[in-house]
Amino acid sequence: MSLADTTAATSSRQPDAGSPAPRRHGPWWFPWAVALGVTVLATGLAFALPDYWLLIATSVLVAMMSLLGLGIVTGTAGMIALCQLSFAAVGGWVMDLLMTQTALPELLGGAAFVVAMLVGATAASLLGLIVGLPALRLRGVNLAVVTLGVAAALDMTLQKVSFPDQWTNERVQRPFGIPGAEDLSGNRSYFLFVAGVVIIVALGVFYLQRSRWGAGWRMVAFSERGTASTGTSVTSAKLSAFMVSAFIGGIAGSLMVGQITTANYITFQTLNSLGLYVLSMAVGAHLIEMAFFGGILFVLIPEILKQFNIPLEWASIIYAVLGIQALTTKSSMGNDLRRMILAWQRKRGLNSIESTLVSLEPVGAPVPAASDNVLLEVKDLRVEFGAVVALSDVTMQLHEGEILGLIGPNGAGKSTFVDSLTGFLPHHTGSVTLDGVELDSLAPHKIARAGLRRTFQQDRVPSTMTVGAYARFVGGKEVDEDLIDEVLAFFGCPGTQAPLQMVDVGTRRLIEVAANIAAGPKLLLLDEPAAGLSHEEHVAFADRLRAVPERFGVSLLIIEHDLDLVRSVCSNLVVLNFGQVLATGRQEDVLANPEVLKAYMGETEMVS
Amino acid sequence: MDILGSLVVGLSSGGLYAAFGVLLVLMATLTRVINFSQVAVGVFGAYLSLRFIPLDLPTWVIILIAMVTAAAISALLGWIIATWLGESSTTARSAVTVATLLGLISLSFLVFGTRPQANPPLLVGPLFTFGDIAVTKVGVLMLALAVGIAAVSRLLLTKTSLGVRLRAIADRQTAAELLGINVKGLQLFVWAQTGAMSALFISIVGNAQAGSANSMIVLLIPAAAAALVGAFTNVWLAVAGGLLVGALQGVLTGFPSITLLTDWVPLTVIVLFLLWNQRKEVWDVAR
Amino acid sequence: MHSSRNLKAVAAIAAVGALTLAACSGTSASDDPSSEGSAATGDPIVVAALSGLTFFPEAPEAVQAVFDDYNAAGGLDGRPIDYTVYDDKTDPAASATAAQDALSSGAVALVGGSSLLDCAVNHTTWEENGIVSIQGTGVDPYCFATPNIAPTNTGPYFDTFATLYYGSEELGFENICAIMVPDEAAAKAAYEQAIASWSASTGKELSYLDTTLVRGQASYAGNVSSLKSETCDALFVAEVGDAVLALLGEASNQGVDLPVLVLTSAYSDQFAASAAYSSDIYLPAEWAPYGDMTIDGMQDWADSMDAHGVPKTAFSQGGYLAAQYFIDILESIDGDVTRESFTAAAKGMTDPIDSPIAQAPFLFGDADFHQPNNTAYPVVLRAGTNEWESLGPLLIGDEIGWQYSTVPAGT
Repeated sequence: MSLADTTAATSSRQPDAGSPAPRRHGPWWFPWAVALGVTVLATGLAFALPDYWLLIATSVLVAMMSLLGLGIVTGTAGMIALCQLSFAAVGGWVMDLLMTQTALPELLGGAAFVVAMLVGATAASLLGLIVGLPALRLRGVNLAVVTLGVAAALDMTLQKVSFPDQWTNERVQRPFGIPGAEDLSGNRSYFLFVAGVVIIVALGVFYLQRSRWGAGWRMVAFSERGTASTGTSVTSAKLSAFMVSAFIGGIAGSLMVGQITTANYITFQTLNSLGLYVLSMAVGAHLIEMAFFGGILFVLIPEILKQFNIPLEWASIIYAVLGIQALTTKSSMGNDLRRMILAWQRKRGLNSIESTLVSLEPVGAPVPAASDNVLLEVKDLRVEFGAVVALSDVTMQLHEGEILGLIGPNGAGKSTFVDSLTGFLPHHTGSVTLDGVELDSLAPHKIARAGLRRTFQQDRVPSTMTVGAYARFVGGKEVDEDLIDEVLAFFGCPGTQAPLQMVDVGTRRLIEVAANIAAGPKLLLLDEPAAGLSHEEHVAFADRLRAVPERFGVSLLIIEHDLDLVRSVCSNLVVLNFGQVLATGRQEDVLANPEVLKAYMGETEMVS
Repeated sequence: MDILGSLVVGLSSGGLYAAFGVLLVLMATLTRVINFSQVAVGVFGAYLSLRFIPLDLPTWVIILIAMVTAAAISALLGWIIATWLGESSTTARSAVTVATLLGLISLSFLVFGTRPQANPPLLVGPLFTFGDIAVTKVGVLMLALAVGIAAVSRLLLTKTSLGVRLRAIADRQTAAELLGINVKGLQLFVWAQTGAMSALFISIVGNAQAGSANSMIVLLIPAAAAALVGAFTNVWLAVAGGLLVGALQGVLTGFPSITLLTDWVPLTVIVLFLLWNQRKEVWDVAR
Repeated sequence: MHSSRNLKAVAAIAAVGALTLAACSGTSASDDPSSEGSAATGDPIVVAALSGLTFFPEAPEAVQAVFDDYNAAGGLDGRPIDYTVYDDKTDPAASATAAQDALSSGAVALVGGSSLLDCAVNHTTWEENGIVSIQGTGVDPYCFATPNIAPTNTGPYFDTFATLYYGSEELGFENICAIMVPDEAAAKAAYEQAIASWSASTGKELSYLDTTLVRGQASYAGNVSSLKSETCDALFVAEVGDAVLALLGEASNQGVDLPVLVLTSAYSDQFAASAAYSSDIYLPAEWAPYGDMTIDGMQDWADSMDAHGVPKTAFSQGGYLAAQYFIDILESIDGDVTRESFTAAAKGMTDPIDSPIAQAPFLFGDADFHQPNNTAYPVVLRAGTNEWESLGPLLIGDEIGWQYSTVPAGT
């Protein structure tokens, strides 16, 4: 077992621990080839399967659709959502309404179903937006309780209003004149229709997962602070996950109603949403083929039970056991499979994951000198936590092109300082200006976009991506791919294809630094970047850092407890103690200041 | 329609929500689990104990059986989580209890059937009435239990060495382990206690509020809403939340014209309250 | 390191599973033929049913018991009846799938199905495929208002009418207050029709009607409280057994002790054992009271159920009757037994089958809707007792002004 796996397994804020990276970027035609293959297969099945099995196969596809939607919120974005069938119900209800109570079928004929389905899915995604709104303040599992409440409330509302087809006893017309559920011959065409919709949605999910949105969902599952620091709004990442999930759920709901041509609240009960959630955990439904596999399990387990005349309640118990098994082993069937493939690729040398930092030729750049331009201006910064004053009236400057060191003993307020600069402590007083732009009232992702970025003490690099996907996400929309390759190589990081979950935690932090430099901020705050590096790596890292301002045009503010790195890269230092600036100035002067010696190094370093 | 009456009655039914809400908060703060199976273990224990009624055991023995069963199931669940998900996120730990909730509901249907369960309530009737308004015995007892458990747990946590250790294990299991605290044992203790309490509550309300396995999820929802008012950290707000949910349900039933909104009002009120109460908590605690 | 942990997890799960199995054993259907004779071994006649096995487990068991005895006694000229039950899981999708499964099996008819929503979901499928259903326990209004389904029971809508009628006319309640769960739109309309039918017949109106209930309510405190400020001398509750108990529990807590009128779904020993209510609970039994062996045919039913280990409940009466009616119609067929010939025989029925257990003769016939049974036998659960008591007299719908349920016309 690799170090990376162990750290992934013990990381505390990580709902999807150890989940493999998305597949390596294959040739562009790969998903289309798969889609074509599936289309051919589905067509073949439609003509080979007996009537009854066509119906079962349709149920598999519909269940897959629900799981695909759920996988985005639970698997990719790492939230517990217990109301997936509520989204399906809203989608199905609106479709049902349009198809049975309006003139839409007469107006549009066979295409009415498709239009109604899309309108229904849009309505569902609106509910997704509303459900997601509390996510702005409620984190993690609190949100799960809200989704449970939504599921229960919608269940009751559906009971009171009924599905519209029940008002008039009018069945929903299937698309393109396909005969309804009472006519067995309609099953074949409806199966093909559902298969077509599923293929289109699966392609959409495939590309979404690889887009910035998808990367944002993965980031937000791993760390909200980390996400915001890359210039991506946590809010929009969460809301978009809910909305896309609900949209797909809504389509699934329409397909369900279309299958039976009438609907009842019982299909969409809270309990069924719970079952779906547990199954999605068991299979790892954020992976498209696993959602399909989950669909098969969802339908096949009850079918097998039926054959042996076992009560269908056992199916839920089996899902529960599979879910517990997956959760307790911090994996899922899909993840296990992906991991096996990765291990195989690694064996064949396809994925290099080692850091080559130590073996790089030293650059030998001198400690960079500050220019005259003030880049960062902090005035009277003050942070209070209740009665405790964490920072009091901190004033400092950083000049363009320099590497400034911020040092101080434990508890001096260094991390509070970084947090307030980068927008994570909005209730500070005083002012922060970057290159003439006021940063005080900006949200973290806006500050990042304004050109002030940071890295974290803890591992904030999601193990669910590849090095390249992560670097592109951090880099933002306009990032230059060549620059990413260059910076990664400059720091001796693994190649862009390497899955982060195989990379050890020290190397991940190098990747974090490299990716943030490639993003081209004006100023990058490095929060204890050298922690966890060996002595050799330490020396090589310092050598590379000294070249950064000149080579990439990024000024650095290094927050360190340990003085080795600071000594070798910083021209100027700021010393914090008990939340106040104790000393500032040239490195040699500051380190010779007796006050600093007393406060900071008295007991430990200077004795030796 | 008498709003005051509905309010009082709502408060009475809210007693049960408050009681379960307090258990959920205790679980969340002490074991880092939002226990979706909290009501389920109690219902399962109570239903199992009903199978001993034909043996002509005294009522207190039946209740004891219910409590012991629920404590055992709860502790088993706690053991699974403590063993395999010791340092995992609250989300991952809580997800397990969603799976066990699903399993317990289905298992209950299989084992105990779907007919009404023969668990008559322990306490029946109003404690006192004025006019049409009745304050029920069971509501008052539940409220007293909720407040009592909240008070006792506060005292325990702040004044005793057991409490200090319980708080120590809540955040960092490994760190506490290094200090020589029997983390697993303590967590299982909490799981067993809350499980036993759940079974006690269910035995007291009987089929007036837990007549079928569906109550495992039906009661969980208002109880979780109550706990949510306290953001799963504050027992007193959870008690208030339980009463709030009960009162809203009671008052809103008096307005049949807005029946479609009735089901959404408690949820909306709670979410709005939370958004206001948590307005400063923009970022998660961990840096 | 992971593998040993996995093993532990599996062991824990297995232990839970074993517990469950142990707890579950004891409910196994017996299918050994009880009577001696030359057992039927010929080409089987395939019969199916859709049933919510969770909610009505004994209904199909009762059908199986009748068919087992019939097969053991030689079947239809040596041809046994091959009976398969498809669980509809009380879910429309599962029900629609099960319907297709049943059709694919080549079933000649559907017998003894007991489900909360089977008729609503599948009635058009039955019509389209020319198959008839002798429903054991029908619940949704489509069971009583469509051409290819004839239930053996009276259903909740006639129940509503009958229990209100008995309350106002026999028990003399002047102010009946009602609390009911409306369910789907069609069911709600059928309940409203039943209440209107009662008003038309008796000239009385409900004093108060609360239809804000939903299935799976956490508390009925608000409903009971609203009720208390009304003038009522009896309470009509339209819900299923466990919900009725919850509502009555809350009513007791708030000091309500009105006599209660409920529906047949509460008619079980479990309900009687669970209720702790301080007034009388009345309901109209759909068939002869299941404990009353003095009625013709009841002893045969009880013997058959006992021989096959099927609980003696109202639901097993429904299944038993459906199977009996099926055999009667089956034996009336001249020539080949097929879906077509059975449907023709059922729809061509002119002579009703006499049935003391149902308290009404059964006739399928060629009508747009079938509700052969509209009789009810009032029973009561007296305060403080744990057993249902027969009251009588038999209420016959046609004699007391029952207007048959209808469903929206549809397209």
